[in-house]
Amino acid sequence: MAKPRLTFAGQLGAIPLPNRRLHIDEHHDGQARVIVETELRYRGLARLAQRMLRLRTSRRYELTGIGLEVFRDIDGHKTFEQLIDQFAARHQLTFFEARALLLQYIGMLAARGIVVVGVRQETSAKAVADSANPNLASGPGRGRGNSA
Amino acid sequence: MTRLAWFHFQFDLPDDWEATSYSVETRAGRLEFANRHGHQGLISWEPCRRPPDRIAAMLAFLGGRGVAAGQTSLPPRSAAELATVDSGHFLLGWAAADLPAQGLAYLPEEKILLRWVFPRAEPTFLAEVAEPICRSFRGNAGPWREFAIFGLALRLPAAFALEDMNALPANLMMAFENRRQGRVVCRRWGLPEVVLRGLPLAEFYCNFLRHQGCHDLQVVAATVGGHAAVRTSFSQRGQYQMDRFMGRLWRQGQAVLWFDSREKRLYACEQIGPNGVVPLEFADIFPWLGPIAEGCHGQA
Repeated sequence: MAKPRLTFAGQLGAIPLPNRRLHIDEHHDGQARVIVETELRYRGLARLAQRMLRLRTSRRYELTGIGLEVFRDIDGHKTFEQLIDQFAARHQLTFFEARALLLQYIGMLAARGIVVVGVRQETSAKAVADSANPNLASGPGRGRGNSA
Repeated sequence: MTRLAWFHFQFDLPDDWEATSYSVETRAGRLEFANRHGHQGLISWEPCRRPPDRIAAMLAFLGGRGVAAGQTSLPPRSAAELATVDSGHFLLGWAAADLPAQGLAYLPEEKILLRWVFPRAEPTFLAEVAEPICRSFRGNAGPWREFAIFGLALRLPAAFALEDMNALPANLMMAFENRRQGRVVCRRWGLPEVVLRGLPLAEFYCNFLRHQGCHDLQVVAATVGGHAAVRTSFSQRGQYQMDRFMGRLWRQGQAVLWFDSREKRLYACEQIGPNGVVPLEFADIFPWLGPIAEGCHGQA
């Protein structure tokens, strides 16, 4: 079965959660920074190769500045919409500016295994219902240029 | 209300509406708007030689749409099924609350048809949003053309055409050019602490202009509309024809950068053109800010 496409409303209701298996090291030497360590998982032949060649089993990322601020906001309770509002208010950005920046950043954190994005079942069901109604356009798309 | 000004029109839009896609063609194109609840409306413009039959055009648009899933009303088949109301220049029409509403206006001087499409036609939405927007229409066809979008507002002589535009989150650039190759580039940045990285305005802007290929930078501290600013003169390699081929410098570049601390936004305006092309007065491009006052300020 095809995965239902997450609509604009569904996306705003999604909840980013920090990966529970992260190893977090806080540093306060001049500039606040956090080093997070994620486990790398190898499957199949890659696992065999990892054992034989002793490939690394974890990867470290350093978060500073605004990136760190966003990471600290992700507490597993706030929805993406709440994170956007908080970020927009703090930096005097518009809703869509904050949304675009956070979408990109949280997407990057998710790709690196630092956060996962959960979608509530009722949000997901509503999102599918919304997507069936074309009069409720599925949020801002891309035109000639990206939204600011 | 937020002011929107684009090629042929000016409107007052609800504060939470933001442009989410745009066209840079003067001839035909559209702007789309959304808020946190999703798509809210779009305005399109297209050439039209003579005043159209607005009811027929509306019917063709609304009636030509298929029945969507979850939609209970059928598209209108005749003019009798349409409700219409005059909202200033616009004729606003709709058939049912769950169908789109449409506003049409014809601009005879420019021979342009403007078309607002709102995704729904609920009575409260029409009365509180769609009608006030249509009524707020003002033309934009004078000798000076206004542009106000994504938080950046400016005005330029009608001879300047939008040449390039890049709207990224908290990073907007609009470049205009006239037939004599005079070029005006306006910018707006958010997140000043990230953009400036602790540098003073003068140092940041010099680095930025050098990165854009500008030479012979001369910077003076200034004030623009009460905001800390820097004014810069520069030269740049010619960008067209023999000037480009021979590497001849255009020497009369002018630029200004200011920081609006209340908005937490950086604004910049650069002007360059072939030698002999007189640059515009800064106060003509941003009349609401007034002229640039040269002198020291605390933050540069």
